[in-house]
Amino acid sequence: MIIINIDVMLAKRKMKVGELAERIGITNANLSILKNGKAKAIRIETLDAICRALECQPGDILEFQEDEDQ
Amino acid sequence: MTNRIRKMGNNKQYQLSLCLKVVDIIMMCLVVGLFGVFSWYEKTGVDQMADNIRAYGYFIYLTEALTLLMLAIFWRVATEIGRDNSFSMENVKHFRYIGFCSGLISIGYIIRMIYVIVSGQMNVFRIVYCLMLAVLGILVLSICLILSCLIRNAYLMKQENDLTI
Repeated sequence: MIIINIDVMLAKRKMKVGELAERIGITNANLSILKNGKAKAIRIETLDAICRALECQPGDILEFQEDEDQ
Repeated sequence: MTNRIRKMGNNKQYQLSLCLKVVDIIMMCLVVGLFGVFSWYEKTGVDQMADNIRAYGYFIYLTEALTLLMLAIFWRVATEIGRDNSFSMENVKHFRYIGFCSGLISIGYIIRMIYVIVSGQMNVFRIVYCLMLAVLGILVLSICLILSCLIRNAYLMKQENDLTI
């Protein structure tokens, strides 16, 4: 499964979750859904906004992990 | 309180829900009225029609009860629509239950029709009445099961869309 690691980049940029949510134009609840891995899909424009706000590459926040079931 | 009522009045889902509930109440009154007329005619009538109605006995009351149950479940569907929750698992179940009630009515009248034919009480009115209600019941069952399936698919798509950030 794909994990979205926002916390590491947030710590590097010294940014709070609420501030990031405001910058990328989504609610805190939706950002939590992304962070907790409950999101079914992410729009390219959302990923674009996250990378722009955190000044990083998609590879910095997206990580693939094997599912335990498989 | 007034602002809340005003907001609800502007909400299209709420307006649709109100319309559906009004239709539901009218249908309930019609059903009660129709079966009330049947009951009255059964007790006071002396012609062939009254005999035909008497022959059905409690079947008619059972049909009335199941029809009212279907309309009561439909009221709950309208309530969910009013809450802007049209595509929900509750509505999937509600339509399934309405379909099953309708299916029960159909099965009842098919069995009744077979009984009428086998027992030699054949009569145009009885056969046509049973056939008509059986066909109507199967039609409502089919429509409700299709709607249930469609709403379930819509619910799953909505879930996926809600979790697309």
